[in-house]
Amino acid sequence: MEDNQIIQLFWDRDPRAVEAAAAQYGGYCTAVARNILGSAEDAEECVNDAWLAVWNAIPPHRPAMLSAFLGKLTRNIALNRLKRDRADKRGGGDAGVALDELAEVISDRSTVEAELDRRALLEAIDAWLGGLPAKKRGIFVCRYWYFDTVNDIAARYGMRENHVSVTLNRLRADLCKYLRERGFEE
Amino acid sequence: MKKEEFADLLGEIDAQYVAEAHAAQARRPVRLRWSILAACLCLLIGGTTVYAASGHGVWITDIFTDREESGYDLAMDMRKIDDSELSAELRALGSVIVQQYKDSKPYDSIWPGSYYKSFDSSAEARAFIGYKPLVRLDWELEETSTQLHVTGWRDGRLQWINLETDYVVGNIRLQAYTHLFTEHYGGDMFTGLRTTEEISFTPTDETNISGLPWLFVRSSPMESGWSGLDGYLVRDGVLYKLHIAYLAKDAAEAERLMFEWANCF
Repeated sequence: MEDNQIIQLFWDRDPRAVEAAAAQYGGYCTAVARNILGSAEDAEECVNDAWLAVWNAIPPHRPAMLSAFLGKLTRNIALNRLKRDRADKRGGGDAGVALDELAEVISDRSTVEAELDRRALLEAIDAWLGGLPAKKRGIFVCRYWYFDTVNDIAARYGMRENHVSVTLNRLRADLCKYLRERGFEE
Repeated sequence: MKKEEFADLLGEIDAQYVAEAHAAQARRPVRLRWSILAACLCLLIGGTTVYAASGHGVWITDIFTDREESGYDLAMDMRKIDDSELSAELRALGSVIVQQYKDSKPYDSIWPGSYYKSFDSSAEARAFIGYKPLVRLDWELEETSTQLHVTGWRDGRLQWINLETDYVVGNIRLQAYTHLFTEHYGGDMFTGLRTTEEISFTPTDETNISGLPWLFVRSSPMESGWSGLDGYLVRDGVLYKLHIAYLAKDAAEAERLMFEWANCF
């Protein structure tokens, strides 16, 4: 079924909408959640929460790209659960390590509180990503959006793990410098 | 801004970049876990890049040993099985899978598309599969369990079939796998092993008494004291694998069993 047909089912409040979305993107959303949470059971619960969230979100939302919309919903739900689990000192997948890596990019002292600042920061990150070669951009997104393991990324891009780690180190340093130059860091 | 907030913000990057990376992920291996050694080891099936071929049906493409995860990837050169080579009973599972999709509720914890069936013996399971070239392991070990796992698309076309038969010899545990990909399987052939511990692997190319090449991978002991031996052999479009888990005192017997298995083909 095409994405626009699935979205139309949601708009029509047709119960088959969730089934169609699950059939098309269930595996994808589960992979997103599992990367973050590390547990298949937790990932399934998280994806089930995502189906409810998408049911509630469409309408009024009409996503331009259904896969990215579902992935983002799942990612947010899984990250929230990860934060709760980490507070309880429970589990988690490789995302915890990736989060620690992100701490190198932006400091706790940074005060990007207002929505306008947040929007400007996001635009700067998008611009930085847009300036990267596709492969490096893919590596960065796989690691910090999908929370893929370094090993998975290495296999996917035909690189050695060490090369992926070095590439990620350089990308983080480059992003940090890029943001500082634009006044996002003290 | 805390790192968690920064991660949240990254969740909002341009959807095109997310989709672009997803396209790269579509080439990633599909991983299936089978419990071995207290769920620490798993066999992988799916698609991957082939780096080098050594001339026989299965070969190592990558070995890695890290603090938190160790493992290796293998590529296979084997043909996909036509539906017509499978029994009518097995093919009929396609309609069961179609029904699973129809009956599936999004809030169910079980995803549709997989069918499991236990058999009293591997001979019974082989008859159920119906693929004539399937090899019967001609050894004297007593089977403790046999389970078939079949996956299919929502339209009922079967993707792959895996048969697992377990044996126990004293303290040695053996898991024999028979794996077939159907003509409807979409990816490249891929297998491998993952552990959650830092262990090393030693692969060797072997040849059985019939002259068939096979791959033997020895794993160093895990913290629990259990070690692993894995044998891989491809014949007539089928991947055969034997995993043996053993304690140090049984090392010689475990090796003997591995070679005995390989010589069954």
